[in-house]
Amino acid sequence: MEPVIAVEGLSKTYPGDVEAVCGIDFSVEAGEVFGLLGPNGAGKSTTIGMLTTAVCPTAGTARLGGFDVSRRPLAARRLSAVVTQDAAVDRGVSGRRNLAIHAHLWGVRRPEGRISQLVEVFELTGIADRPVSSYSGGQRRRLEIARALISEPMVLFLDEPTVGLDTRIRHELLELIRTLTRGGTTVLLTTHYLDEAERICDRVAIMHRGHIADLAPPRELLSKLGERIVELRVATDPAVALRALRAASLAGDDAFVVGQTLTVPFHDGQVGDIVGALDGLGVAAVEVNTRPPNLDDVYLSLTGERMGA
Amino acid sequence: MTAITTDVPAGRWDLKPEPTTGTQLRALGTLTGRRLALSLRNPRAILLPLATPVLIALVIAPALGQAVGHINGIVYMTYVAVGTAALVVPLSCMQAGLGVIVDRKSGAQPDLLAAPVPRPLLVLANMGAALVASGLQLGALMVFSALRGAAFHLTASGLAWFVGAALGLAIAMYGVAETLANRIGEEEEYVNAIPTLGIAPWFFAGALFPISFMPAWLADIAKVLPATQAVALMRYGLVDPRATDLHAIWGLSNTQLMAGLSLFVLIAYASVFTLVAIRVFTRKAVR
Repeated sequence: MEPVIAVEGLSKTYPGDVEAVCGIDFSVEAGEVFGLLGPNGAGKSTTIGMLTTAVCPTAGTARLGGFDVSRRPLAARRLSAVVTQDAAVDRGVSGRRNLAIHAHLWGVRRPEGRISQLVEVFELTGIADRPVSSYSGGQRRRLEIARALISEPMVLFLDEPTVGLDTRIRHELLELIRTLTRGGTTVLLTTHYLDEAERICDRVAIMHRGHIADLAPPRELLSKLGERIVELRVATDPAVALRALRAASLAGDDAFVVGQTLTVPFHDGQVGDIVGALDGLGVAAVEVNTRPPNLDDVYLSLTGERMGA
Repeated sequence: MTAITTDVPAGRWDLKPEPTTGTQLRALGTLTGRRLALSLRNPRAILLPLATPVLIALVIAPALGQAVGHINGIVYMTYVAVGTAALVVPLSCMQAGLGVIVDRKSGAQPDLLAAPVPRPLLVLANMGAALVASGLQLGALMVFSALRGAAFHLTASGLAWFVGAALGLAIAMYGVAETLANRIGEEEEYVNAIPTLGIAPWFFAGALFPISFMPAWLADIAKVLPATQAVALMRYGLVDPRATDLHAIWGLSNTQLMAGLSLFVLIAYASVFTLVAIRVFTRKAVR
C-alpha cells in the first residue's frame, strides 16, 4: 500500500542559487505523526510549501494520497489542509465566517453541523460570531486548527503550530494532534521545540541546511547517544580537550562542543571514568554535569549547530 | 480548551473527485462573497466610498454646470456627471487593490492558496467584488446626478453601451490594481501610486472637456487611454446620441461602428490586463 506522503529526491533552489531543500527522501504512513525538526532556514517550511503546492519543486517528486503534487495539485490539495506558521485568517469577519469559507472551498457538504461541532470542541462558542480581529493569539490559533479540520483532511500540515501559544494551550494542542491520528489522519508538522517532537511524533526527520541528517523514531535517535550525557565546562581550549578525550577513547565521534562546554554521550563504562581521567589529560573542568540525552543533543551531534538558532 | 481531549470528528475519506465546473463556480461565488464581506462589512464601509460620487453629483457638477453652461450642446452638469464615471470607477478599483496586499501580508491568503480551487479564481473573485463596489459608486453618482437635474436619454441600447463601457473600464483598471498590488510590497507604496494610475488619466480622458481642446499630441495620447474610450462610449450611451466624443477619437461617421470599436478596445484592455494580473498573482503566490 502506497504511503500517504511519498517524497523522492525533492529539491528547491530559490533564485540566487539558494538551495533550501536538497534532494530529500521520506515517506509517511497513514495515521502517523511525522516531524520535521531543525532550526530556522533548515528547509522545513519549504518542504511543507512544496507538499502544499505553494512552492514549486526544482527537482524530485512528492505524492500526497497517490497524487503527484506538481501534476495533480488540485487533487492533492483536496486531500490536505495546512496551518501556516504565521496567522492566516480574515480578521475583518467572524470566526464562523472563516470556517464557512474554508468549508465551502473544500466542498464540505452541509457544513453547518461540522462547524458547530468544531466550534464546540475548540471552545470557540462564545467568540465564534465575533470578528477575528478581537481574538487573542491562542484563540486565533485554535480557530485556524479548527478550520483545517473542517474538511476532515487525509493529511494535516502544521507549520510550527505551537509558536506563540501559552504552555497550557500548547499541551492541549499536542493532545489534540494525537487524538486526530486515532481517526486515521496523517500529520506532518514542523517544529524546533524538541519536547514537542519527542512527545507526539512517531518519527522525526532532522533537517540541516536542506538535507535530512537523520530520520527515525525519537527514542531510536536518542538511544544512539546512550543513556547518559556528560557535560564538561572547561577553562582551556574545548577543541583541544575534545581531541584529548577522543585520543583516550573516552569520547566518540558523536561528542561535540558548544562554547566552552564539551558534550560527551556516554555509551558504556562509568561517568567517573571520564572525570577521573581529566587531570591526566590536562583538561581543566570547571563544571561537570550528567543528564539523559535529548533531541537537541542528537541535532548537535549530527550537525554541530544548536537547534533553536 | 479542556474539551479538546474528547473525540474530535475524525476523518473518513475516499479519494475525492477532481473539481468540476460547477464546483469551481461555487468556489468563485464563495471567494467573491468573502471579498465583499471584507470590503463592505459594515454600513460605514459601504457609505464612505459613496461620499465622493455623491458630493460630485450634488455639489461639484452643478457648480461647474453653472460656471460653464453648455458644451457640445450638452448641459455641462450632465456632461461632467458622465465624465466623472471615469474617475469614480478607476479610483474604486485601485482602492480595491489594497485588499490584495492586506490578504497577502496578514489575511487568509495562505489558506486560500492551499484550497483545492484553481488559483486564478482568487483574482477573478477579487475582481468581481471590485466590480460590485465600483458599480455601487457609479450607481450613486448617476442616481444623485439625475436627482440634481442631470438629463440622461435612457434607452436600452444606450444603457447597454454605458454598462459595457463601465464594465470594460472597471475590469481593465482592476487588472492594473491587482498587478500593482502583487508587485508592490507595502500598502504605503501602493497608496502613493493610486493618484497616478487612478486619477491622472481622468484629466486627459475628455471627462471635463473635449479632448480636441488639448494640444494635438496630447489628444493623440488621450485617444489610446481606456478612460477616454470609456467616457466617449458612456456619453454616447446616456447623453450624446450624436457621439461627438467618439467622433473625436475615431473620425468616422457611423456611430454604431465607432461605439463598437471603442467597446472592442476596452474589452482588449480588460482581457490583457486581467491575464497579466492572473499571471503576476500566480507567479507571486507560488514561489
